[in-house]
Parts: sequence; structure tokens; C-alpha cells
Amino acid sequence: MRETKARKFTLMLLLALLPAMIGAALVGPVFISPIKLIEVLAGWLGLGQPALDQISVQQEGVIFSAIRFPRVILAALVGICLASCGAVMQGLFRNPLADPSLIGVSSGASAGAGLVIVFGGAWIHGSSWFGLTFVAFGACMGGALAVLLVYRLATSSTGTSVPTMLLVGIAISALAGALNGIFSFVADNEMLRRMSLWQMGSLDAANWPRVAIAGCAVVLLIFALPKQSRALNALLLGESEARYLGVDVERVKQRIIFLTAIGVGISVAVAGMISFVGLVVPHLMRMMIGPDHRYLIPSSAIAGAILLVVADSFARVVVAPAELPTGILTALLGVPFFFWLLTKNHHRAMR
Amino acid sequence: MSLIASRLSLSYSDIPFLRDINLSVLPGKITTIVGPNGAGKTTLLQCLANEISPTSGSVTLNGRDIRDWPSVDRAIMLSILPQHSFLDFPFTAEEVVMLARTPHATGANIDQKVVADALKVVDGSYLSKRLYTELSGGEKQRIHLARVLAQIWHPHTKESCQARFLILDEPTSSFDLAHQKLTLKIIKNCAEEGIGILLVMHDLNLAAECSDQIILLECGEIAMIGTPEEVFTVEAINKVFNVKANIGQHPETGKLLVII
Repeated sequence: MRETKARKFTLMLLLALLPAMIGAALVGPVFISPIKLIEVLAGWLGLGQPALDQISVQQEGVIFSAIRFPRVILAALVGICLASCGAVMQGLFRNPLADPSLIGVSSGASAGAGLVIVFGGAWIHGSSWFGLTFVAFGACMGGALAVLLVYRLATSSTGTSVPTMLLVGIAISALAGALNGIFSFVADNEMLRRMSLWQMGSLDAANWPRVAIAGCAVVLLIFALPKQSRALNALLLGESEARYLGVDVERVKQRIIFLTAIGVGISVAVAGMISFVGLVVPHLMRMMIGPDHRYLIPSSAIAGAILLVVADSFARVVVAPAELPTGILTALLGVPFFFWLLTKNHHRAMR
Repeated sequence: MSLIASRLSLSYSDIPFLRDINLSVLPGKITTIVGPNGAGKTTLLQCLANEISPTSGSVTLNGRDIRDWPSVDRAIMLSILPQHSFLDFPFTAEEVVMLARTPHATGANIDQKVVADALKVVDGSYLSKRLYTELSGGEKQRIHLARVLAQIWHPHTKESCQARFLILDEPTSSFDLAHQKLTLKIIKNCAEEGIGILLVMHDLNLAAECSDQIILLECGEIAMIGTPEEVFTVEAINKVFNVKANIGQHPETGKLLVII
């Protein structure tokens, strides 16, 4: 039975997440041995004997508490947001090649960030509000605005048309791209570099307030998305068929769009643009356990967390002591996969 | 306990699609809509399914306007097979049938039994573990037939929702002869259980064999309504389909035959 297999697989992923996160906390420009990690954790909990080398334990304690832990946890949280939102978007669009950027949230966020970087003025760059820079705040607003526009334009008296939403999403993305072009045109060299780095997405600004913000989004998604699983399954048959099965299709659409906008908007705000997690992970999971959203959503969420935690570890190690933007690594891994997906579907269409 | 359309009309920007349709689907009776392409058969079904709201007139289910029913209550009474369903995701055949249990809260055990039984009825048990996306057109259609059957497999326990109706839009269009015959048998069995059935069919002989009532639809209007013998006359077929036909009798069943 596929359901039993899917349950086991999801459990296995969950069990793999913890070692992945511990491993990720150990690597970086400074490698810290697992024994040190245990010593530090024991020290925090007030357990165990006082370590012999107090100073180095303190140092490593600071590395863990101020840098590694928030970063690894943030990576996991962002991975959960992106991958679970990707899974429900593919269900809503009834297309395994859909991803959250289709409703304009990423390009809107990018334009919002660009606006703040170029016109925000020098004073705004240094200051921050609850751990978020104003650039992140601008990104969040831009993303929300774009989704709102896409949703409004695709909704008429007869309901929200998903194909129209796709087209409007493309148009809004193009518009946001044009705005970004204007911002780049008037930007100076320093601003340009900041803009392009932001668009690559990185977790290097991780801190505890950001973890808290992303954590709120994840809690919301974990409670709200699984409730839509059966409706999403029915929706895969088509909107009319879902209505015949008693699903309130308009309400499901609204909720999914709202939750995706929050999940992806907050991810983009805390980590910039990290591509392909939302596209590739749910697709992979669908190949492993089938399209049933009751299992697809949780397994995608966990696998997204693992992928981003691992990718971010590579990002910190590959060119140490410098680091690559995480978004570059996910894209490097994602693009070949995407091409493979396209050609595979092409063959299916030809058959 | 019936599904009734009264004085139903539908027009888009002053172009009429349906005009003054009156029909009733009664428990245990099979009603079949026939008519040329573009006569409005599918549009009429969509009105009855609450997918399209008519411009005037009304559709009632058990005496209550169909729009006023909670969507889940409607779904446990009224099951609809559209002409085409597109499903691009690799569910197994039994998972597709299981989707029919979405409006029910009968628990996994009963649901699995219903799904297995429904698959058996449509001669699809051997397909249950296969991926839907890899099935042939006829096999897919059988899976969807099993799905709409599984949706109304038992009368619901809720007092007000025990009526059951089945609407099938060209259920036999991609079936071979054996499965066409099987489908007729399934439909008749459903009717015997008290399910009210509304069909759209192009094969007049199949329609004549199973139907209690034929509705001949022409340009969005009911041209004739009655038993197969009353409706399938040489003149009516010539007028509506513009085809010269002969009317005969089946040598064994004695049912009406339309030969062209």
C-alpha cells in the first residue's frame, strides 16, 4: 500500500533532518568537533563536569549560539516554507512545473528590495526593525503587493480563474522586472552589488529574531496547509469535479494563495531569493510517494528543510573563509534537474 | 425525492443556449438526453449540477433549490461524470476512485471496501494498483465511472440526504462493445436500487435499450419528450438529426432499434 510507504518515508525524512542539522552546525570556516558540541550543550544545560579548556568552549559556545544555530534553524525553516508552498501551488495550478513565484511573490519582493536599496537612503541601510533590515521589509511588502494584484486581477464575479492567475502572474512578474531594471539603471555601483547579491539569496544574515519570524510562518503553515490536503487532492481532478465532490473551491484557493504569500513572502524577507526549492522538492517527493497531498505536504516540507540545510552548509564550506550565496547553490543543483523534468514531460506528451 | 428543472433558460449576452426546459429525474428511473452536437446537452447537465446558474427558472433537489444545499450534502446525493476529466498526476487507479469518498466521513475501512467494490463493478479490479496516467482512454473512463459510483455507493445515513442521483455525460463514448454493455447493466442496476439517473448519449440504440424517458433536445429546446417508442420516430430523427433512419425491433429483446 502506498500510504504505508509514504508514512514510513516521511518518518525517515524526519529522522534524517536532525543529523543533517547537527552536521551543518559543525561545519563552516571553523570546523567544530561533535564532542565540543556536546560539551557546549551540556554546559548550557548545566550538566556534566566543567570542561578543561573553558575559554575555547566559551568561544565555540558563542559561535554556536550567535552564528551556527540560528543559521541552521533558519535554513530549515525557510526550506519548510518554500517546499510546502511549492507543493500546494503545484496542486492548485494542477501542474507539476508550477512554483510559488508564479503568483508574483518573488518578483514583487525583488522589486520591493530594489526600491529600498536604491531610494531608501543611507540612514535606512544600517537600521533594522526586529532583526529585519528595511530591505527585507521592502521585499515583504513588494511580495504581498504583487500577490494582492495578481489575485485581484484574476478574480471576477464568477470566482478566481487559475489560468488567468497564471497569465496575470507572468505580467506582474514582467512589470516587477521592469521596475527592477529602472532601479538598477539609476543605482550606483555599490547599490548594484547589493541588489544582485540580494537576488541570489543568502542566509548569512541569520539571527534569532529572524528565526522567530520564520518560525511563526512555519507554525501557521504546519497547522493550516494539511487541512487543505483532501480538497487539493480533489482539485487535481479539475475545479468542476472538486465542486461535485463537495469542495468549496473558491475558499480553498483563497486560503492557499494567502498562506503561500505569507510563507514565501517571509522566506524571501529573511533569506532573499532562494530558487528551485519550491519547484524541485515537491516534484521529487511526488515521484517517491505519489501525489496524495496528505503525505506530499509534510514530506516536501521536511525534504525542503534538509535540502536547504545541506546546500547552505556547502555554501559556507566550498570557498571558505568566504561563502557563496545559498540561492546560487540551490539553482546550480536545480537547473539540471529542471531540464531533465522538462525533457521527460516532453517525451510523455509525445507518447 | 427528485431532481427537477422547471422553466429553465440560459443565455449569454442575449444569445439563448437553453429555452424553457422542464424535466424531472425520478428515483429508479433512467432519463436520457439525446440531440445533435451543440444542442445544449452538456450545458443542461451543468445547470442541473449547479455548475452554471440559469438566467431564469430553477433547479430543485428534493424540493429545495439546488443552490441552497450545503455543498457536502449535495455531493453525497448527486454524483456527476463529466464528458472528459483531465488528471495529470500519477495517482493509482484506486486512489482516483478513493477521491469520491471526499465528502463522506465513513472511515477508511468502509471507504476501501466501497472503492474495491466499485472497481469490481466496472471490471477494473485488475487496474487498482496501476498508475492512472498510464491507462488507456477506455480504462480511464472506467475508473471515473467507478469513482462516480463510489461517491453515492450507499444511501447516506442523514435523513434529509438519502436520495441519490447519477448524472453521466456520454459514459460509453470510449468503451468497446463489451464495456458498453456492462455500462448499461450498471446503470440499470443503479436504477433498480432507486438511484435517479440522467444520461447524455449519442448512441440512440443504447439510449432506447435502457431509458424510461427520452428527451430530444434541439437548439436548446426540448423538441420531444417521452418513451423511446414515442420519441424515436422516422420523422423526429429526420427533423432533428437530418438523417433518414429506419426503425426496427431487436430480434431478442424486442427493444426499439434505430438503423441508419
